[in-house]
Amino acid sequence: MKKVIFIVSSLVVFAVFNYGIYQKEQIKAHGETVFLELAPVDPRSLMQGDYMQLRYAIEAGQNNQAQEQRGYMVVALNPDKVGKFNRFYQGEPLAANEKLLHYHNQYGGIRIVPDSFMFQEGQAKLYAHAKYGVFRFDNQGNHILVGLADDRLQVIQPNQSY
Amino acid sequence: MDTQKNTNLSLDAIPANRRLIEELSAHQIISADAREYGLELLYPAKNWGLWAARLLLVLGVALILSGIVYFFAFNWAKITPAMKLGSIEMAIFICLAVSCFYGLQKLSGKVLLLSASVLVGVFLAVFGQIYQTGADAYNLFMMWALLTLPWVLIADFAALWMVWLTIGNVFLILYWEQAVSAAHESEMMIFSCLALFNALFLGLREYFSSKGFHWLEDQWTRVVLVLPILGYILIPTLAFIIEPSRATTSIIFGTLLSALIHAAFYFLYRHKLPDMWGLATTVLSVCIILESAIFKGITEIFNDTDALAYLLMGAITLAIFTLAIIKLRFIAKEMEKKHV
Repeated sequence: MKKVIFIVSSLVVFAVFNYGIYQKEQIKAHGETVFLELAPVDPRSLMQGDYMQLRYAIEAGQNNQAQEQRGYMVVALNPDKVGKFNRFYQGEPLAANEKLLHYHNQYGGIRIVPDSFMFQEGQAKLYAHAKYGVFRFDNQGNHILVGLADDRLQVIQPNQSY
Repeated sequence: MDTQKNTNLSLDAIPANRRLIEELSAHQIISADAREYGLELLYPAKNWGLWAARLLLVLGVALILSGIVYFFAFNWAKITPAMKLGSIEMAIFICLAVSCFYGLQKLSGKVLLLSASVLVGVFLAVFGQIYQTGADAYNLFMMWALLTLPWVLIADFAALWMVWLTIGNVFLILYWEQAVSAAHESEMMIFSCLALFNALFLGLREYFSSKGFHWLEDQWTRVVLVLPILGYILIPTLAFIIEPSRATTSIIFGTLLSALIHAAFYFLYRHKLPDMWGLATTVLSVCIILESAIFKGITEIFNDTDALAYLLMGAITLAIFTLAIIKLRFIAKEMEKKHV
């Protein structure tokens, strides 16, 4: 009996792990690239080590309108794929250039995740002039952050020789 | 040890230990040779070897695991994501396969399962970093606790339970901070929740160890649960003592729970499962609470004359702890009599 539990629970662990990887890779491979403008980043947080605290321009401005604790907002993309806040989502159909972005209310303002970007120790200088977060969005409101970009929308490549 | 007084006891009711042998030898009831023989019989010389081997096994595993963590941390950019995740999964698989091969009855099997459980956490952390899932760290600990729970249940291994309980405690704290965003009234509720969570497992531990689950009988499995319970519950209690007028519902609840827990521990470790360690910790915790309450009272009475307040407090501190120790020594003697 114990052996059965042992083997089944181990299989479950691997199934969960690999399904998680599969899901993220699907979004990464087939998702649409979206740039979200970063709010000025507190330079002190760069010294914290191997991650950078992120704030998005999209988080500011519509604080008062968000009534729900958590929900989706609609982001409209311009031809450069830069996303701007359009409205809070009410279940209506979306236009071709619109994406859903999950948010939650915290400390009296809306927040979107992830609020941090992780990189290897010592690469902080490269990312210091980041202007945009680079995302891949699918059509169900899932997104992943794949990197940061500078003000000309060029993705910042990590320094491999470091 | 008054062996004369207990002549009506049968021999096998008297526990043989180092103290008994030394006592007999000191009264010259047994010879030096007999003393040597008796001690060798009770505490075989090769015992320390077994102990050292176990210690080295655990140390070795801990070092290898931390080595793996550092390897990843310092080579972050050079390893491709697939290689990172794949190698951790491979390591988990090897741990599980070898553990299955040894069987969970053996210590090696259990330690390997413990390693696999820790590596699950490593995998989740690396997964979070690669895909920048960011934000709510409580998700990681929740997944970690859920995925490893079946292994913990079948392993019968106290060290694995301790790791799992640590994960559980961290999950509760992070969940409270990140997802609940409690109102001021219920802010302190988390400490009651944490105490109850650990008390639940302490209850299970006491129940099952009395039902003959030998792997739970070690003293430290009780200690690691009693200490955090008393620690957590101390916080709302002290908050109540410091400012009773501004106590919120959660502080009052925590204080009542604290009284209940102290009473339960005292009753349990004095009468039901006599244990000097559990009892002493409870009494010490009561002393701390009493101290704070009296200190609060005294500083309010002598609000201008600090020196007098501290002098008085010093005398009261001495009195409280002396009384506590006298009481504990008395109980200890009583327990010993019942045992022999």
